[in-house]
Amino acid sequence: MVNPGLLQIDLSKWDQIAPPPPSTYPFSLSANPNGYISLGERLRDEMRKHRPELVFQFHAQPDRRVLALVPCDSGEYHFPKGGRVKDLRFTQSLIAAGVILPARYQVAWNPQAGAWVACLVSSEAASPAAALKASLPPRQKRKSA
Amino acid sequence: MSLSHVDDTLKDHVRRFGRNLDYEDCLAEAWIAYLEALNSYRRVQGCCGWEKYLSLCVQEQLQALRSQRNQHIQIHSSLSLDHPSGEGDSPAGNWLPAQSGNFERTVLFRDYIGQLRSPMKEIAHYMAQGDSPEEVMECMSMTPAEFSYWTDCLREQLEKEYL
Repeated sequence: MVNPGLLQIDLSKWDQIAPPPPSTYPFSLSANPNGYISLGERLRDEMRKHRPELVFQFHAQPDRRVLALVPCDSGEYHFPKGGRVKDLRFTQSLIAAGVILPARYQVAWNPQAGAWVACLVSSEAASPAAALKASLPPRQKRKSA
Repeated sequence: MSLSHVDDTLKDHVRRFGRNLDYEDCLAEAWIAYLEALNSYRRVQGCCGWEKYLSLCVQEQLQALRSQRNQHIQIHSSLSLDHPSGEGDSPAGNWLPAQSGNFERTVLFRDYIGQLRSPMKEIAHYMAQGDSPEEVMECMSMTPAEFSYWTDCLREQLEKEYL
């Protein structure tokens, strides 16, 4: 057995491991199987720097791969302070579009659109039925008597 | 949803998914699935509506019952619940899984396993037939530490013989 404390080493000949690169888009949005849409904490803080109220017009591509949140004063889509809102109709529409829940989107400000644009980064399924199956947690097996 | 409506819905599901299983058994299982679905639906209500979720739960429950009843029964047996009835013309060999592996080596390996000392013999036997470590531990009433010790011994023995 080699004793690491007694090894003779020359670090100049070794590879130096760089720290992992930081995420390009630190802001995220997620949709969960329980029907909640959540804004990431950092995204929430960044949004509040510009507007204290999290009120938007919420747009989604028909395939649900890209979403857009347009900040406005009289928008219909309102996130409470915690940045979490329950919207079963939207999360179920994700499944219908073949997106597996929980779904994670990377978000960035898009100046051209004047909106926070979110792109899907988590898994997709081949069909709505496959997405539904993959999104439901496995049921626990009962012990037979 | 009233109880009679639930009962009607479950009976519909049993007729649809129960197929050749016993009707009363299926209905009992469907009620169990319904009660479990009631408890778990709030965690997955973002995925689908209640009716769809209930249907999936009942289907899964009946499939589990079918698998349980089919244990140790080959698909071509007349006792099998998955027996492809109505296809009487096709020979039974069509339903058997394709042969794989090397027969001679399998026999030699089984012979070798038979010569191991207990409990390595039993562990090797269970693992060769595809049982998971958890299943082997349960069958042999072993703790994870004991199981790990004996699998290490088995690995050592195999390495000594074959490497």
